[in-house]
Amino acid sequence: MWTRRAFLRGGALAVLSCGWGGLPSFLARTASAEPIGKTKTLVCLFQRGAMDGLMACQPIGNESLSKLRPQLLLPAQGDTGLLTLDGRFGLHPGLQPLHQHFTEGQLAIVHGIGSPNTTRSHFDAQDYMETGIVDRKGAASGWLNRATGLLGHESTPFQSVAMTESTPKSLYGERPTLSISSLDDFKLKASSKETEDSLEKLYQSATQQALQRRGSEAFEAADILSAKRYQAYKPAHEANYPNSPLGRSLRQIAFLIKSGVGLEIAFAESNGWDTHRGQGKHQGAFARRARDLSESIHAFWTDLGSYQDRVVLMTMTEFGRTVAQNGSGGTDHGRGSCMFVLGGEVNGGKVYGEVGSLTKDSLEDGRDLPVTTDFRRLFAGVAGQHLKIPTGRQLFPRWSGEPMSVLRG
Amino acid sequence: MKWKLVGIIFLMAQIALAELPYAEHGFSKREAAAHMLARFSYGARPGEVDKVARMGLEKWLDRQLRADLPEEELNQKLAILPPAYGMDEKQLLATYPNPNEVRKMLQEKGFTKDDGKPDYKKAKDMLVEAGFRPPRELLLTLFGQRLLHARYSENTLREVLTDFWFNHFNVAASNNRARRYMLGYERDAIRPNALGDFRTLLGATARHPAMLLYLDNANSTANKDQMTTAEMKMGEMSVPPERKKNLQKRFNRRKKGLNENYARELMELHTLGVDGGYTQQDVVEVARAFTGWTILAPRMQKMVEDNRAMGEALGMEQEGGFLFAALTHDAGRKKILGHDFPAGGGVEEGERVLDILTRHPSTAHHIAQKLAVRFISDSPAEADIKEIEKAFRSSNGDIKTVVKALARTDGFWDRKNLNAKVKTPFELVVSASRALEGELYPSFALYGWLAKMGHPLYNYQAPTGFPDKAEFWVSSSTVLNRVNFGLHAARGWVPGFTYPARENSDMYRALDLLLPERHDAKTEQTIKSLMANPENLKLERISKFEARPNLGGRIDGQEIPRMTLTPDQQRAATLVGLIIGTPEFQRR
Repeated sequence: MWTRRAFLRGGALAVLSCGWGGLPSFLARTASAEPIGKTKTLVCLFQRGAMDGLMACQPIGNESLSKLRPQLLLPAQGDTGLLTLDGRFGLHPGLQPLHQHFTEGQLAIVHGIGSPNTTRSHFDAQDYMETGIVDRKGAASGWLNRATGLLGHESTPFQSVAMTESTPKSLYGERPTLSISSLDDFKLKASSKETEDSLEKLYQSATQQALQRRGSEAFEAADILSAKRYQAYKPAHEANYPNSPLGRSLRQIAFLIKSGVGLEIAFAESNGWDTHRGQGKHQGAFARRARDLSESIHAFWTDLGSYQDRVVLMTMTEFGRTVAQNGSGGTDHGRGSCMFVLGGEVNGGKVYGEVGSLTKDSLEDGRDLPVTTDFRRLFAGVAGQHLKIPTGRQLFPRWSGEPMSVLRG
Repeated sequence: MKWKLVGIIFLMAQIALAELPYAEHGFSKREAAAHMLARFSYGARPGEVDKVARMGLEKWLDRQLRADLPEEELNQKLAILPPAYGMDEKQLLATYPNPNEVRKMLQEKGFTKDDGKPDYKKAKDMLVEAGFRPPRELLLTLFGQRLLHARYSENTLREVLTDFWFNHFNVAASNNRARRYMLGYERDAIRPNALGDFRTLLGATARHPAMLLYLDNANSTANKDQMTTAEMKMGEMSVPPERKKNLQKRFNRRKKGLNENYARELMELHTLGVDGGYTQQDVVEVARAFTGWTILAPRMQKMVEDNRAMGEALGMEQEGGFLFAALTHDAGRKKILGHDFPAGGGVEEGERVLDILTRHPSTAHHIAQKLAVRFISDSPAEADIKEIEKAFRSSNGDIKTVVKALARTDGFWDRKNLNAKVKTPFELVVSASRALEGELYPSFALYGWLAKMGHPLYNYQAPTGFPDKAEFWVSSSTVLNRVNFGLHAARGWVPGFTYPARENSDMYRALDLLLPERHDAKTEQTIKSLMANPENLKLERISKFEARPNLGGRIDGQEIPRMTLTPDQQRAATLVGLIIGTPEFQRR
């Protein structure tokens, strides 16, 4: 049974009064499982806790590095060694599933990337990165919420979705947005239409703002989703998702993309990158996270199949870690890290950005990988090129840098 | 002298009896009592608004601050918990071994499957005989004791603050090593100090193994190029040169280097706040001051015991699970937030850092701000924060004084802040149970519902703790699950949540119980119009509850209480569930 609601909103088609009977042509298309036109989707994956970029993508033959982190250094070759990237850098073996995408030219890596704000607080740095405003705290809107606003066309309640329990800062702001921790649970379990409607009306008129907004968005989206059957979803091409929070998130994002509900901006999280202790080499805390990350992304990409051309996935992390290992086989909070961009349109097979000599005097504050690329350059470049949105101050207020191009065309 | 004392007592009595300024903000006494209970308790129980109004709000608050009301009902309920609840730390460690150690033990003793992995089924008898119990029981106890305290304690304000301080000094069960210490952490370090002295509380967390492991300080040692306390002390002793050389070698091996994790979060989260005026250099220096603050691992107990005299001569200190290892303490000179720490120091350096941090004005501000967010509104006025801050400073962090000041701020009694806070999912569950005179029982299902509503208790991985704001608690996902929880729980579909069944005719009373003094016309009208047609109130369960990992099972030898309802009671229950699901009930 199809929903009683108008599916589209915003733009010129804001009020599509289809009521119970009529189905707008747009819906007729989605109902027949035909992908909507050329809807593009940007998937942002936040690695919380600060990933050690130098371990993910390690400079090869760097003397300073071998002095500063002898216990964290991987050999350039061999079974437990790095995977060849471009001669200058090698990929951590735990990220092996991503390697083929690099050699096939769909994966780009940007190294030495981070924020101009030098805070080494996770929580501040995440806020700065998610709001895209690095010199003022507590900005009201997230950069992905602003990006949603700049799309400038009709939208569905599923235009931006975070696969998280709470709304991430990246999606705070004026534009409606959904947080869905589990598609299976994302439904109202009341019985009669009357009870549902009564509750919905109460939320629509609630005086507390968060309850009013999120409640209204939830009821509307749950109603649409009730016609989609995630429980029966079978990933395509034998894609094998890890049964981890990230694996489940990306599986659900793939489902939403393919079910044509109009998903344009998706957000997922990977936790546990704060490797102060027992970071390890090819085994250990880092390797475990890396495997989960790369296997999840690889499964997602395999599952997408022909949808790859309209999807770009970008990873991000709040900062990097100290170049030197600390006293407990780990690393402490640092500055620059690296980020991955995967997509059919990506000009990949390259490591972008700059990583210097890593000698002590070249490090930021004598300890950290210097930030040579402002993260906003990459975010603006990817979002601008992929989603065809303006990248000026509407996207990143208080910034006038040059977007970085890692996508073709 | 005598007169001075009398004067002080008189002054204290006056402070104690000073009227809370609710009337001047236009509150009736009942309204004010409802507001107090919404903020300072886990939710009003039937008749409680009247009781507090009769007793006087000031007196109620005073008794809550003293937190010495007898706990008959609570103690009776706590008795259902597994024996872990009453165990001291040593017993806990012996009964709930580290899963890695168990794995190793099984492999050594040959309890393995064909693929070499440990076979727990085969080893069950051996494990039981050794006195071991499954680790999940420890987590169920941890969750259970919080749940039962929140639901049944008469000293409800202490419980609200236990939640607040645990979250402030957050430790997460996602950390394998810290997990086994978390029960003791809340029971011994947090709850007894929740209404006490901030410095004592801070010190208790700093020395607790749960914190030492969670924020890695247990693994932070002097850098190789620094002398340690033990080395310095040894220099002053007459030790034969050969022995000295040997010892020196051993000492050097222990110097693995600093770990900044605790030092940073101590200042950023526990005390000064992120803009509290410290630098990266301060982080390093504080980390140096705390080197050697580690845990007494069970396997080291004998070694420490056997060498106690020597250890103490070298500067060691040990108390419970805390160990100050002088062998790894960086005894070099330090400069912390402008204070000079001369070379040669030991365990007292960390304590001095905690003193400095407690007295620092940024800490008073940071704590005041967090309390204001918890008890006044998501964005409290700077003037209110200042009032609370003043009380913190003048009382040197006496939490009772601080809470009293908070209860007197204009913001607390500002009508625009009335019901402005969104309940945490835990508060939602507990307040519903209290209002309905229901029973809560620690079940896997109940924990799972909390997680679905965005509140996986004891499992917020980052040291910030759960952000205490509506924007965090309310998302599209969690709104639906709050509504679903209400409907499920009221119908008896959440094992662990039961309450006396009601008939339809009771419904007006249910509204009164759940939303005392609220009088929200829209909510009342909606409920009443639904009541008019009982057909609307049939409720089918649509999909089964999806369980979460991490916390499982039920308590040995016990059945989880359940409720069954007649069709008439079912319809009444649907209404109860709807009320729990209304936006109005999400607020406090």
